[in-house]
Amino acid sequence: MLRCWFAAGLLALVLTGSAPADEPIAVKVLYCGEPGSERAADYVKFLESHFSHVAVQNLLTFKEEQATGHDVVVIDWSPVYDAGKGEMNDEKWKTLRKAPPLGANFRRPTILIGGAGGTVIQSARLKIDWLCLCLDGPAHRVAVDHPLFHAPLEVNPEFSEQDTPADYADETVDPTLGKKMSVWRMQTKNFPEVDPGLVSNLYGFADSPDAEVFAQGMAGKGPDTVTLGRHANYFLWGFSASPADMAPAARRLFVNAVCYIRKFDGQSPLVYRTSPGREWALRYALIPRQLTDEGRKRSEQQLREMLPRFLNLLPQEARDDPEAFIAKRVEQSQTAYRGWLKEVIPQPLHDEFGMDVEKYQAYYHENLEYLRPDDEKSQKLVVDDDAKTVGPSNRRPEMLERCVGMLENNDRPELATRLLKRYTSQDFATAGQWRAWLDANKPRLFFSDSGGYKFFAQPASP
Amino acid sequence: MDNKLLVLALGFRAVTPLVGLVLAVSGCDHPARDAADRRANAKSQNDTPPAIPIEAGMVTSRDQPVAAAIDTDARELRPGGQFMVSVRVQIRPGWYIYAVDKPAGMVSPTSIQLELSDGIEQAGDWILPAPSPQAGMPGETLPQRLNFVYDGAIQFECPLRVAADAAPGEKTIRCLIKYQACDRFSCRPPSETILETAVRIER
Repeated sequence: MLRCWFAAGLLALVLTGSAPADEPIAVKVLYCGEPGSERAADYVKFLESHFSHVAVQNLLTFKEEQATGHDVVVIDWSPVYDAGKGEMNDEKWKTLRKAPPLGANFRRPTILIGGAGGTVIQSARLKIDWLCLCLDGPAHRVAVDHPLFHAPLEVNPEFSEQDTPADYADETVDPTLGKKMSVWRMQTKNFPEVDPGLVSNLYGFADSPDAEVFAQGMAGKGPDTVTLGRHANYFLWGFSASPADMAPAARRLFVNAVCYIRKFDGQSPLVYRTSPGREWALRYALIPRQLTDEGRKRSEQQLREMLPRFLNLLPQEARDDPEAFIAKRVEQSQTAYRGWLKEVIPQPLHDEFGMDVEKYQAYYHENLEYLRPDDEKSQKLVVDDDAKTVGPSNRRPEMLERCVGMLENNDRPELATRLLKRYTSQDFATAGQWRAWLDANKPRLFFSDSGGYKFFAQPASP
Repeated sequence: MDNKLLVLALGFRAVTPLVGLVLAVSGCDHPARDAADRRANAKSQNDTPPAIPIEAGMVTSRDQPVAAAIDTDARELRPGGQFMVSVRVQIRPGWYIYAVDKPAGMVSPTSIQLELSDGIEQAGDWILPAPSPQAGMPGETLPQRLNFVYDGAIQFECPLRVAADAAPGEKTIRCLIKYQACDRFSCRPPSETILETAVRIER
């Protein structure tokens, strides 16, 4: 009879993926933070209430080999902002910067929390990058259907609606973003009560099979940001609040994050971030909006409304003649925008479309499937006319199939070869060799903007 | 060399109030001092620093949107002599850094500190570039959504003096500049750069 109950329990565990609430999950966690701090105490208490083994390590002296014997490493640190004041504490930041960077070969499952996580992977060229430490709002576009939200704990985020910030219209390429946003408040405290969180670059984040976006964040730089995501063995937990200041469902999600990332032990990134995702072209195309007469008037009006509150901080000329000062400042700002536009928009487009945002948008939407960087160092994204000639998209394997077919039929072989070499890392001499390579790799091919606008082959399953 | 660190973060004054002080200490007829006075006067007239040429080597990039260089307006000095040290900062178009001693909110304001060899001392406050108020930029983290920033080419200057009992020889001047660079789409982590130059003290 006892054996039956045990079997039934085991079956239930397998079917639901849920561990009994009062039984620690058999995961060995290494918490790397600031031992002795209030924050470390809170995190350790929280982790110990869910996991069977929790060890503590000082992040500043962490050596990668110390992860041996642990299943998951959590990278964290105490706040670097003075709570309530909303200003970064220079000394605290200086201390955090002493944290050793994780090396390119560190493959242990790792959760990167907020600014501490961003600090240790700054030079790693991961898709988890430092877009900004400016997450001061809730999560949105939450992937609640992902297994992360259902095992081992069931997570039920509480969504609410809030007004979309007025300036988000200029900071997103998401055409579905309306006047209201459905958001999940994962923290019970936000900046300046707690540190701002870290967000990563959304565009191109999920373009390789080793990367996933679980939630975007409402950040100072817009809504198109990743705040919960995975790249290879790294899990970005961008929110900075300690467990005591998390919503209950967020605490449960953190438990799941530990269990989820554990599965990726030993995984190395399939690609490293070297290029901007093509959606940046759509974002850059919004810049001219700042340079129209309407944009200028909006900037002038904003300064007109705000400057009187800051008179003591302004130069004398602003106090003597505010209107002249505003006009000069807006002109300076517009000059900077114009210079910037030249760096991100190809000159021929600038010549043709001027300040017409709608024309830029239409052009980039129409050609999105054929964009690639102008050159390695450029931020400009240009249309690849070769790819457009062949179609259907420079990021779909069908283009490679068409190119190999062209070689086999001696149809514009120079064009086909040019495209095959441009978008793969291969260099074959004959159509037969290209065919053999394509047939062998086609099921595993993926294209990555972030990885350098190339096709890559996933490693074969063992 | 026994260096001393001068922490000047609390000693900043805006350009306009500083002009009087600069003039007040400019009683000597040192050519370097005159040059400094001329620059300070030029600033006082329209409150807008003159355009600063981009120096060779001050190349910015997408990865390094801020470049800086240090220089002095004299290389060889005698005890008691005054001179100016200048830090030129080139900021890539579209990027900006946050003004010294102005509220910055979530981001970090710029700070600048000198580390001087024995025999070199500070002779006045830093002359700061005039910050620009900036409204409506995403990432403005003050509730008022107004930030004070530097963009383009800017220059910080500080008057220095050779101590009366300074020993002859080469003297190092180091400057630590901390800043955080942002553009419309992103903010880099707070960064710091150490700049170094030298002057020679002769008897």
